[in-house]
Amino acid sequence: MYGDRLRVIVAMIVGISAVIVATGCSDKGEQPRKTVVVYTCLDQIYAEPILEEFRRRTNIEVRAVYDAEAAKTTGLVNRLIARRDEPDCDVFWNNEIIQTERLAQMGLLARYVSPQAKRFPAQFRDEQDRWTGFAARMRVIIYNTQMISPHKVPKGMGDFTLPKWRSQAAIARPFFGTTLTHMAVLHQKWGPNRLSDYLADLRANDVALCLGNATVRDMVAAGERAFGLTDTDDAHAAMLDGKPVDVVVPDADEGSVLIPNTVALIANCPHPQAGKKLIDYLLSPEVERRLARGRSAQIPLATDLADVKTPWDKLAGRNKAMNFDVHQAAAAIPEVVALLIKARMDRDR
Amino acid sequence: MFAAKSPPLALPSAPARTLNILAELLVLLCLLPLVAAAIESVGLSSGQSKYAHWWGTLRGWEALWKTMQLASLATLVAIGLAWVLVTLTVHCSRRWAFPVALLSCLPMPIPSSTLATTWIVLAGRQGPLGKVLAGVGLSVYSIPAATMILAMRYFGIAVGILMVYHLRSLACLPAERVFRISRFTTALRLRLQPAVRITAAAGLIVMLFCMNDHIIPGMLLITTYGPQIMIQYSALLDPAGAAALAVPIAGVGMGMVILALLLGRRCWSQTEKTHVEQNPPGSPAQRAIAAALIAIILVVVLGAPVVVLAQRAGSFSAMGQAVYQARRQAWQTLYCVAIASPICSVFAAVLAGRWVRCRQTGAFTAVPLVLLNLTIPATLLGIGGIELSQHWPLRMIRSSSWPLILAYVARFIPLATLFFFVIWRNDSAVRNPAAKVHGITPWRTMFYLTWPRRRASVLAVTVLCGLLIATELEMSILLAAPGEATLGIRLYTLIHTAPDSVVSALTLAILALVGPGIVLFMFLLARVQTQRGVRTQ
Repeated sequence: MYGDRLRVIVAMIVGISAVIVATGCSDKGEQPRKTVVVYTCLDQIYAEPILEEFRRRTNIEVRAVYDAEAAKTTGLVNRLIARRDEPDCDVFWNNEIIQTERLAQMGLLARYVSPQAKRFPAQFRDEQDRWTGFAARMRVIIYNTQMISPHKVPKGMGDFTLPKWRSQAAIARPFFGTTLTHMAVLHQKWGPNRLSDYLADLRANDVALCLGNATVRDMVAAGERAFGLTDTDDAHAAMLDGKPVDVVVPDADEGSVLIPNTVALIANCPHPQAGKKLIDYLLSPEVERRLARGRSAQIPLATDLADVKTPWDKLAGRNKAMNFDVHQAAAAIPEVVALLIKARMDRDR
Repeated sequence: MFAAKSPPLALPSAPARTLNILAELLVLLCLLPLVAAAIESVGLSSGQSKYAHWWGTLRGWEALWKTMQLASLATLVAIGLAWVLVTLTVHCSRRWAFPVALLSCLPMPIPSSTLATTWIVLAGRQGPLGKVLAGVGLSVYSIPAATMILAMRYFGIAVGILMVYHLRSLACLPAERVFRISRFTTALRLRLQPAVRITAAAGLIVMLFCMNDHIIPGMLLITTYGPQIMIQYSALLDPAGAAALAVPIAGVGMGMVILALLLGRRCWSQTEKTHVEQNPPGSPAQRAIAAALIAIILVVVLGAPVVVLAQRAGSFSAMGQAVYQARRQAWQTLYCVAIASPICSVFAAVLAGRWVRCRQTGAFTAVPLVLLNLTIPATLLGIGGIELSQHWPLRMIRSSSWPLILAYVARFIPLATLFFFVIWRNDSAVRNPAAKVHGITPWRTMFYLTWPRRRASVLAVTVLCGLLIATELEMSILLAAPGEATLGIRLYTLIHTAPDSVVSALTLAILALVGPGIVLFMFLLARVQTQRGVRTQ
């Protein structure tokens, strides 16, 4: 009896081990010859099909690490910094520009001039060819069409601090992502004193501080707040889902804040050739077209794709991108964060 | 005259000595990520100033106070809810204890973000409960709402602990029955103190879980210490600053667990020696009322989120489609579970064995220290894991799944060890020396004597670890190798970008996968209880 039990136990252990070993072996057996590792902050549902298409065409396996918007705990940038001596990543595909520039300033990015790069305006390329910007999102005010009539729609950043909109507005907690970039742009445009006053006014007007831009969208769509500051991709998802929302460009007469995706090759990366191929593919017209047509409705930046339509073409201010110095904005981040902390944007009131 | 002499305690054999050394080494290895995170916070040149920045000013204290405030409120609600449910269940029918405890634990596998989103849909301004809340001047984005959602997520822990306590101690004593002493008198004289102790112990454990959940408060716009850590880590690119905030808060968590163990231990030792008989069931009317109340509580806590998810998911085929699209991540999750949970179980068995032996002989062991890993935020272990993976020998395997698997082991070994210790601590130490006297080899003793007695508990712990690993998120996000995301990571990255139907379908699919695991765990737990009952008789 005991012998039978022992045999059963041994058989189970051997069986489980065999499954595990077989799994490991089969994974390795199926691996194509080449591999490229990409860290991407673009939402997985948008990035995954593009990377899959690249794999299909080139037979280069793509191993991706995606960022998670809701928690910001992933710290892909931190992961890159932590592994700077021996990076495991080849390509950094960021969905914004400031953190990429910060990495460049830390010396973590390699110089690479993609043959595709010249198709993009100079303002979206690094002067030292360490990164290239493509397919942008725009900062917009999203508003609930059932709560705000068309002639009362907020028109600019100043509306967030007006008493008539007290407890009606929402923004993402401005320490992360595109909202941090937006704050850095305002810092450059307004100067630290005006930004500091503005932040204090935001708090005084009970503007909700959400976990991310998607939460802002959800709150506005659900009618919890009348309007908020978000990105076009988040707004477009709500519009596609039939939520009662619409958008305007804040302070349209001064131009729109366009925040491009950026792609860069990591210095001393393990697979530089495959990485360069992926960068070339990401900067190709096909990818920009795909991102423009998809759920994120991103805005193509290549000069030869001006004919590609997006839902944002008729928005006032769409055709005038606000100029800002990316290098300065990245360098000013610690100061901007200090202002945000001073205004208690990291805490409840 | 014929008093039996206790067998002399033999000196440990060579295999036992090896196991002892192995156990102490394992403790050291398990604590390495925590030590690495602590070094990260103080080892850099600016380490001390980071601590001064947080704890020399009001900032850190304010973050801690806010967190404790919310966690305390949620714990009070959770404990109240658990007491009502357990009391109703035990006095209604002891046979319901198992399914009720099982159902109470079901909200825990639902990711915090999904649960919060579900309640925002339910109780938001346009949701079915929104008008009710607005009528009493409340909104879902408020401390009361965050308190309720946190309580509903974690009250299953309290239900589990209190249910076991009730089953062991609330039956009537022979003396009460024979001498017709009123229940009230008995409760006042005998049961009040242990009940308060076990409630406090359960409360501390629930509070710890509530403290470490920063997703639900964050989504409801309530600030705890979580966002502060994120700001340090992601906006300021300052892991040392993040660790300087997290390490002392982790210390508070450790203190809470130690206190809970001390309270629980004393209470346990008071109740387990009581010879109990089952209370007579209540009248049919009382039982019907109790059943109705139990059903209402469970429907509110569990039914509402599941109904909302099902409504948003659309159909079974949508669930199937969601699983198909996530097949790679599902396979990766199963792979991690298949490797990490048996390792957890085996290592924990070694640790618990050592702990039990030391308890019986009064020797010193460092094994209880391993519980520290359970008390700290998982993110801190993740940061420690990243730090360790920069150095040999983990550097060689850092692009594989192994750093994550080892982190899972470090995180869940304490729970498994504690589980084994509680079950095995009263096992007789006489049987194995007896086998030795008869010349039976240690391996044969293990297979034929020890394993049959401990099989159910080992399998239960393996399943429990598997469940926890399958739903773990915080360390997975930090440590998953490129291209090897788990199911939890996929859900988390999709939650705000994919259509509602996809997210809901995937969540329901995860629940459907985890549900049978919970049933299996509870079944094995019942077997363990039965075996223990047989052994103690």
